[in-house]
Amino acid sequence: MSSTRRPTSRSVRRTAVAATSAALAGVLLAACGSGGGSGSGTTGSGPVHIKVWAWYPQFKQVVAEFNKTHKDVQVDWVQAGVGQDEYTKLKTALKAGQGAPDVVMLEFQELPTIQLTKGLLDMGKYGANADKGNYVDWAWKQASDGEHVYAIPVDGGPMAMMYRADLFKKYNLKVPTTWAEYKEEAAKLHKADPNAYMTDFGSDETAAGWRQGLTWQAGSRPYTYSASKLPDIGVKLNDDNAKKVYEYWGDLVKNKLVDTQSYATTDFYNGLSTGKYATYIAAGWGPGYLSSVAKKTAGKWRVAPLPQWTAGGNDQGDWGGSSFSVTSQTQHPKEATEVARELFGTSDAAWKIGIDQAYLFPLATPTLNSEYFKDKKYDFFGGQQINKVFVPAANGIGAFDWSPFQDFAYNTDTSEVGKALQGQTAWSAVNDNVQDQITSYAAKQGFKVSK
Amino acid sequence: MTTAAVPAPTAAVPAPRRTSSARGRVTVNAVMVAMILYFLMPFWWLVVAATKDNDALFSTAALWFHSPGAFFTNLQQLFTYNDGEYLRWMGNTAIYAGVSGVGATAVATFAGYAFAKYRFPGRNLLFSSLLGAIMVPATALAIPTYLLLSKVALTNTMWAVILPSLLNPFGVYLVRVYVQESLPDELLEAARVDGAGEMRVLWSVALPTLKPALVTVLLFSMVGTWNNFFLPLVMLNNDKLFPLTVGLQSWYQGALIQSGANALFTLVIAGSLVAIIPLIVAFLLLQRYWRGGLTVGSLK
Repeated sequence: MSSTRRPTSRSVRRTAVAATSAALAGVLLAACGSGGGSGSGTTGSGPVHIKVWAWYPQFKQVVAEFNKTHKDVQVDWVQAGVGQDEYTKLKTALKAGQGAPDVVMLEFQELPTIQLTKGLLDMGKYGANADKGNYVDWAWKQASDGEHVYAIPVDGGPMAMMYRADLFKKYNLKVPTTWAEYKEEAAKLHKADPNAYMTDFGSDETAAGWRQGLTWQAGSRPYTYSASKLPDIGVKLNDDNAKKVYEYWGDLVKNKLVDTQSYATTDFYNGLSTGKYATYIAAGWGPGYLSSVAKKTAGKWRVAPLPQWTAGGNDQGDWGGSSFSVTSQTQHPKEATEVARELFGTSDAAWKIGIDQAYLFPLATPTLNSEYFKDKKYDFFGGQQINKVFVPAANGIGAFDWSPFQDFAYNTDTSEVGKALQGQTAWSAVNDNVQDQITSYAAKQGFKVSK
Repeated sequence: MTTAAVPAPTAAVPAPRRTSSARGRVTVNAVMVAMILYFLMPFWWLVVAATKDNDALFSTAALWFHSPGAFFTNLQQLFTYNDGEYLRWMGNTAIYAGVSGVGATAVATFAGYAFAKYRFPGRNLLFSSLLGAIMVPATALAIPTYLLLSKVALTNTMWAVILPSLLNPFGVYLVRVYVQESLPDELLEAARVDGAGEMRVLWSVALPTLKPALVTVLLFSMVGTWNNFFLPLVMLNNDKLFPLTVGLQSWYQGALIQSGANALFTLVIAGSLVAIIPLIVAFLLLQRYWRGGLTVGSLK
């Protein structure tokens, strides 16, 4: 979204209106009862109020828990928007120089983009490095740059394979442990029932993170980036590992062994709940998602580890996850850092809400590796202790850098995959095309790109 | 915003033979029926989908009812979810649309009347820039407007949505054309000769004549604000101030990408259905003014 436009006659007139209204503002604001303004914190006595933007489900109780256990710092939470909506607002507020909250929820892949505009506070100066050992390594690395800490990890999405145990039994399928086996079983299934598919290939924008997670597992590391080494960035989206993944799925698509519905559509949910899809390659937050969009299939699903590229391997990938950052506009860096560190942090009370009601997948190691989490049985999965699959997956994920132009990268990838899907380009050319477009984009943006 | 005002086929040119004229009429009617189906189909889907629970939504036929009883459960959930935030959003939308609609109509009336009936230096320049402003999509101005309003600390307040909506260049244009066409100078002169001041002339002589145009401008501005999405999305950071459009979007996004603990699809659908009811009512009640007003612009 381009944002700097020359003022038009209309906006000039608007300036006049804005100026007039400024005079009235004092009177009118009260009448409007809006509770707006910057509002974060009082300098006198009493607790410091920290404004937080977040969209976690069931977050209200987590905030209540924090406010109950903290005397000097209180959290004022608003849901300013979900995902891109929140980022749009945050970027606008950062550009305007005011209006951003003290603490903001950001997905991992968005961190470098926001950090690049100097929008995030380095929490390392306020003691956040002490938390380093509390989080799984790859997540902490995504949230920090050496001793600079730009975010505190909250939840993640280690990937695994959910499958319909009833369908597997009906068609006599074997739970695949490698991608080669996965393809064999897909062929068997489709032969037995031409209307059924092994899964749905996520080809749309909402599944860009899904595709990235799969190449992550395969060992692809498309970006080599850290804020302290700017303007240098390494971009390698077309290495053999990434190509292997796209050619594999392209082959499944061509042989009609997987469906190609967009992920965020009714047809996709329909497929999950009617048995059209026998597996769903999902993430640690997927159980909550699946049990809410395909409630009537309760008891029929099970979870197995992500199929591997080499038999007996233990390579994992991640799809999704989020963190708390402190914005550079905060007036209370110390207290805001405290909020980011402790809202979830390693608090048992907060995580009980997060795990049981919000289906968040914890990245805090004390919670992640706790007996409570590992032994929890899920009725939707026929009583299976599914975290016995997800927890080792989370611990097996390798470090991975995001780019500071991730929205563009996801966009490009989605449109190239779309072309391959329609047969306009070969699947083997997708990665090279994406590489070309992203390196030239990055160079135009002023990065020093090494391939 | 579809007004679904398919122009009635004007009297067909007298055809040489009756059969071809009959065939033409059949074609025209068939096209119209197809258009009606095309416009009503999404609405029908919305009505049907609002009667389904989350599971039925994704696993039953899209265009027919499954469990009509679920409609009331959906409504009940809609109005109570998260302490009834839907009702609050609806109230916000009513305030935004109402205040902006009335305000925009007032501004458009004064400005349009002045453009049509007064001669003052810079009139043509101002009017040309007004015409230019019609061409600029409001969405493109949302970010600059944010930067301006943030200078006077009005972002994240109700005024951030209301103030930019008060200016409706198309409304000004509409009123000007209408005044020129339907309000003779002689009438205003007569009133002035009788001793009426300028405000009195506007209020007692001009306004009654302008009613159809004003209702049109009112409806356009209200519907415009009611449906406005990007401006409030950028301006408002507080879910207590959201209008329906932004609120429903936040539910929808929540259902899509949240961990899934909330499957709000049914609420989004029921909420969308309820959200358009006021517009349908407004349209039905005021449609004769609306139709009258729509043709105003085409007079010249």
